[in-house]
Amino acid sequence: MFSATKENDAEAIFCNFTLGKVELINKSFTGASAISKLDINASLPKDSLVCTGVKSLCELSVNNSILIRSGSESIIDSVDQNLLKVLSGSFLVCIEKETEFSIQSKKSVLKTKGKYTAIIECTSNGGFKFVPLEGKGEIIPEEGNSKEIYRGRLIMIVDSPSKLGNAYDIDLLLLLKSSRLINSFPTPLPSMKRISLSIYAQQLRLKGKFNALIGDAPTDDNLQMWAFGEEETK
Amino acid sequence: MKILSFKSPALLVVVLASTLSAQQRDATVTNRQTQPPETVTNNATAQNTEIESSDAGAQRPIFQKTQSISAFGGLDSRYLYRNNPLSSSETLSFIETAMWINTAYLGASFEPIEIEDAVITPYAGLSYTSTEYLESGLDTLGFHSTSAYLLLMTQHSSGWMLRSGLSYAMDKSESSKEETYIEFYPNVGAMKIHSISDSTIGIIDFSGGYHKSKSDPNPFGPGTSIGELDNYDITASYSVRIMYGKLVISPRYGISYKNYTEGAVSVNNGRKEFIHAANLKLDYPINDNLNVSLFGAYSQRESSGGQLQDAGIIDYDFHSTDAGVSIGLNTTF
Repeated sequence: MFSATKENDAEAIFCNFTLGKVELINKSFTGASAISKLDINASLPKDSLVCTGVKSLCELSVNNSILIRSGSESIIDSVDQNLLKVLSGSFLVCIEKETEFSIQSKKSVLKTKGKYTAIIECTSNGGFKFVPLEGKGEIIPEEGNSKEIYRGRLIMIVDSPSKLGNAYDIDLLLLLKSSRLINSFPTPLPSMKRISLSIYAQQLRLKGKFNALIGDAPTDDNLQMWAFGEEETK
Repeated sequence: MKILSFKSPALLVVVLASTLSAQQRDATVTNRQTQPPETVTNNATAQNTEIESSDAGAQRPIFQKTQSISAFGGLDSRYLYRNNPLSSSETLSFIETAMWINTAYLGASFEPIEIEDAVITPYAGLSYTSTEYLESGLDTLGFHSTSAYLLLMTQHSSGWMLRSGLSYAMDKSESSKEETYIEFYPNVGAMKIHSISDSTIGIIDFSGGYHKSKSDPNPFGPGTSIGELDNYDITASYSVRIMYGKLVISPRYGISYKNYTEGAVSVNNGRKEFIHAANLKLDYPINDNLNVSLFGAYSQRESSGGQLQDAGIIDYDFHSTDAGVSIGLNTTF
């Protein structure tokens, strides 16, 4: 099952890094025998869920060109060179070459074209947030028009067939400083220099910040916002 | 009145040239604005709310500028002591003075152009500076400077910030109301910031350009060239910014090389020089728009060549010390 190595199988999906409790659950089995530990450098078997525990992290490499990071209490249902299917949690996707890649949550699916680094966060409504940190390309929902990837612009992906929901420009510098998916891994993201450039470009255009944080989306029409003070302008 | 008599015309020239040079300020060592102030181009000071880490990170909504031009402006007032305002080589002829330098500036940045590995931002600006010498006897040397610049700043993903620009400067004597110096200065530069610790950054900067100037010819040279102060210069500097609470401490060392280019028609034919400059600045921001500073500077010029210097009439070497306080007001529109 774990015979492939990074050197001889470029098509395989490898685990680059784990922190804490990261387990595989084989969908073909039930009970305790279905659960095994995911080891660093092991290839990912088909038909297995990848689950991270509390305060745990995991990094997978797909085709040596796509990097997928999984945050704590997150579940990947399946992953290959064209699709990341997730059930819950938060993820980071870094695509270094022009690729058509789809992201699917419990309810929604988003097709992307291009190369980019983005954070994906599942929401309670079954959809997810798509937060590109850098990159060029487009996002294509099942219903409605496609949009260009724009650094720092959080877009809610909602419903089925999926649609693009509300979009918010968010503070990339704060996101960078506070995101474990970016900072808590031993190797920096290959796109880190371009992310820094995105932050610089955003700072040039920055006019002000709202003293609020975007939270979960319990329904397609509701989005939690946590206010913490008065509006600050620059 | 003491009457001097000279038996040799050559000695007369030496004394007159030395005396005249001791009563003129050196336009080539004046600091001129060739780019926007740091408060406009430096985004590293942007403050953020402290928020605990999470997997996806804190998602704080922002609002961005919708217009493609962002204007900025400010006032800067410096009161300083300078021990060698005339850049004299002779310690004995040092005339110490207090100086009051006031600058008003306006500028604009234009729509940044984002390409794959770089962001290019055009800037344009102008400034007006009044320089007053507060020691009696030097007050007639007071002058007003007008400067303007066009600049392209390119932030590359490698971390280097490259710049290329063209600036214009003109000095007008307060007493004679005449233009005493004009220059155009096409220039390029490269800067990289690196982190030394959580509270300290280092800044490497290289720059260079060509000063195409216009001034009255020195009467003791061939006297035919209005461009005898033309020179190209290159500068390398390293500075450190230490954030200590709200206080920012910035020591800097820079070395410049100048080569005067006008040739045999110029009194500066063959003149080359190195200028060493060490500065220390303490900035304390009162708020986002108001800043007070204490500063000190030491500069030294090592010069060779030039017709008068080769003839032993003038020595362009000097060293000078400044210390003072400044208050700066800036805003963006």
